[in-house]
Amino acid sequence: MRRFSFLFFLIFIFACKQKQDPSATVKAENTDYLVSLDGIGPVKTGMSQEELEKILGQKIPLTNPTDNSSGSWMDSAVIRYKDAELKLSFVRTYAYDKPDSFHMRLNDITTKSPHVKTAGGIGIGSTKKEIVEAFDQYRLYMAPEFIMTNDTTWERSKTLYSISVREAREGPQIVFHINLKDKKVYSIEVGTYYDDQE
Amino acid sequence: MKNVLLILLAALVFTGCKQGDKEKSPGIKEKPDAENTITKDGIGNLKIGMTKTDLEKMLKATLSMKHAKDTGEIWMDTATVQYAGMEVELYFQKLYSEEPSTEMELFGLSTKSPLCKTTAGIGVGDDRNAVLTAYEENPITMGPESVMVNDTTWTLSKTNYSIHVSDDKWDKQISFYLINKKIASMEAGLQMGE
Repeated sequence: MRRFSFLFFLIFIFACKQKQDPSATVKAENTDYLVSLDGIGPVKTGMSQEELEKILGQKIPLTNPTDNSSGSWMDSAVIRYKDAELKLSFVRTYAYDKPDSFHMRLNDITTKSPHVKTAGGIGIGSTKKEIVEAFDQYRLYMAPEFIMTNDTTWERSKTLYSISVREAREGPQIVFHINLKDKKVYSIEVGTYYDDQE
Repeated sequence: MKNVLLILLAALVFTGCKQGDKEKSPGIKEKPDAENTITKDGIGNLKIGMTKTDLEKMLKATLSMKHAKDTGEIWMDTATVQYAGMEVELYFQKLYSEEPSTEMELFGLSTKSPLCKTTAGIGVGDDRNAVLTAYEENPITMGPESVMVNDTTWTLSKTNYSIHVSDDKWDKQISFYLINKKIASMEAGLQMGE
């Protein structure tokens, strides 16, 4: 009987411990998919298309990188990186010393891959509370997202919410996009924030 | 006897787990009196945008300004008043006008009084989660406060944290200042660039 009681006592302690720690999240297993303010794994914002192609060992299929006639400054491509799909957005960056010479620079990275996680284990499926607790020493900007209701009108979404994590008011950021229906992260974006109203 | 003990232990396990399942209930907050309510516009009848003269008339008192005896041009000043049982700090700035003016205008106010609450009942002693739950639909900016460690260096505080709640008018905001994870003071003020 004593053995039984002791066994139940252990189960009780274990069960309660499990419930008390709901934010326990799986930590990123390796740095291949590690999200930081700089990027995801080896894919870092600010890198040129050429640098990335070298690191990733694959061509990044931008559609209009040399399009001078339309003056398109931005371009994006979806690539497969190991087991994750990443959307890479580039912006044209002109050289100071050579007129009309530019390269495509990585501006932001977006993913919905469950492999991608922060060092604290925050990733797809994490909650707002977990993000707030994990980034306690960072500046957080959080609000329902804006959605376009027609050609001229924007309004706050009832279902989409985002939390931006930064070290300063401007600069590199990780944006966690949350669906308020299940209150979980469905997409992660790494980029840079500049206040263009200044 | 064994069966009774087993049932009792099973019930204990079940109860323990059930307790863990429960979200901490935010509790039903008491609605504060209108005079003790803080909104982005002010506290009670003390409203942002009022002039010092308006306030003195309303409070039936002369405000004692901190820099009243300073010589030279004073653009900002503060005063402390007792209002509806609370000590409230008033922040003034000189009213801009083409004509030279000595009139000061209220641009912010804060209190540490536990009597002061938001319309949702958030007040001194509440934690970050209470604020986040109460303002789920508002834009929120928050983080540790910067503290000056010496003349040239700033660092992030380990104890002091602030939460600023605004809306899409981006004109005024309510700020919650936390010390050791609990609200220590609340402020209503004009939203200014960082």
